[in-house]
Amino acid sequence: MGSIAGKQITFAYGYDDAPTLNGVDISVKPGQLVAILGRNGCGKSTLVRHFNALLALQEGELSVAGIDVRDEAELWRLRRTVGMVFQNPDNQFVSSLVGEDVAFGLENYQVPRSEIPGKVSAALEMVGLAGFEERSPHLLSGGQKQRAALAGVLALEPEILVLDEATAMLDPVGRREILAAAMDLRMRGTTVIMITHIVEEAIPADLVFLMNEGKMIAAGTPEEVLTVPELLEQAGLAPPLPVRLYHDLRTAGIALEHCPLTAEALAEELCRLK
Amino acid sequence: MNSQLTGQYIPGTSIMHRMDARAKFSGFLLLIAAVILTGTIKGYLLTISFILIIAALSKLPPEIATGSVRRMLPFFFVVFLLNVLFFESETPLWQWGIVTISIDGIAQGANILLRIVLILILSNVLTLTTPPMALMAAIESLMSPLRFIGVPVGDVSMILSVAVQFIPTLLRETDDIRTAQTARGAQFESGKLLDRAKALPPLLTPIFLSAFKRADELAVAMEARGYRGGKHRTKKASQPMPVSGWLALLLCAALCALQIFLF
Repeated sequence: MGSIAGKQITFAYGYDDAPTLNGVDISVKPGQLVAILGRNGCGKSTLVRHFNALLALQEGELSVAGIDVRDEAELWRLRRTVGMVFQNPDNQFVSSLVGEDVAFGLENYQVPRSEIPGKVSAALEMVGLAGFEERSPHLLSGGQKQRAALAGVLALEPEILVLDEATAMLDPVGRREILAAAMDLRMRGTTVIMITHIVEEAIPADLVFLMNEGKMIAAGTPEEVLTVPELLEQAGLAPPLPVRLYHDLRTAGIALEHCPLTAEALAEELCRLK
Repeated sequence: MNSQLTGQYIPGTSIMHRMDARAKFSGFLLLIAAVILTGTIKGYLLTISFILIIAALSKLPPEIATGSVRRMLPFFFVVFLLNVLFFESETPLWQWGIVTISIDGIAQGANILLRIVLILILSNVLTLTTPPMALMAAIESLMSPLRFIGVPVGDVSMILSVAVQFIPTLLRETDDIRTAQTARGAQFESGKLLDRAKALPPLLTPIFLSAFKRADELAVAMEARGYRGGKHRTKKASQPMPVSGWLALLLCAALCALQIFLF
């Protein structure tokens, strides 16, 4: 249920190309909120596209929700188990009406027509778009569009949800809406995998994987990964501002008790100094 | 850019909104035939009245129902002018070389213009009152007999509906690229004709590249949501055509018959 276990995953797009993934290991427990961090082109999206066999596994082993991704007989069950929301919401809609678009996945899995309206309404309600069935996706805000795309995936009740840079094209409000929806899903027991190059988005995660040039260079809790500037810099990323301040203060001779990840935690640490 | 694009569905509860999409689409085809068959003033009066009643029943704001008509006025002017100046007539009012002005030419120009305007209003009412997916389902339903000769009707319908829903996105993108290139000195609306023609390839290349990229991303997103061809999907509910649909079709067919046999 919602687990991912991968060993030595290696993948190259062309025979002569350098591998995009080079011996990647990953282990995720059911119900975890996981962030896969790394700069553009480091292999994050390539990795997650193996989770529902959008890309065929070339080398290594990968089992998702107990299904071997190489098992072709299980391909469509695997795709239903792993829902995926992509970066650009405009490139995910197949219909000019939100309700019909959310129903698309259900129709692909031959859900009886009588059950579809109920499932569509429930999925829209889950993302805070109740009653949007008759609206055109193109007239929604960026955050609403992405939530509508998310509803299209949630209607299939996936055990694992992959957000492949789903916040990258959104403004801060839209980004907050999607992150709130991801947190809500985690509370309901869905395994959520967030692909991002925005370090701050990884802070609420249970587990952070850091990738660079096709390799997994670190894995651990946000406190273990995001508070080490050297690791993040190796991956081409900047540490969160409170972490930078913590280290700057330390260099200046002011030692805080813990390295804070958020502004609130930093304020608490500073108050303790008194 | 306008948020409401030409031909984009406007939700509503009018009789035309509620009418069965199959009846609407078939009736639309019959009415086009009636417009083309109309050739007399009596015939036109009947056809125009019929189409105006349909437009009124749709409860669409007149400026939206006739939006595309107003946008095409320059085209109408050219069509009318060509007919007026070059229609061959045995009773010309004025002649100079190949240019002939006659009552017949003016009547022919007016006739063609009226037909185009009526067909545009009809197509506006159809697309503005019918959700694209319902329209595609109607076309799929009407094409369904072609399944027996191996035509993949479900896939054709999906291709059509995806194409329709991508129009606003591509128009918005065209607008963005056009604005960006205008900011860099491209001339699309002013300057000599040659300069404007030269500005087009740099506009079309990114539009095509972007369209292919979007198509690729959409294909991946569809696959991720379990799409594997039309025949594996939930079957469309094959509901019988309601009585109102048959009545509407009967009226459209009667109008066609009147144009053929009476006028």
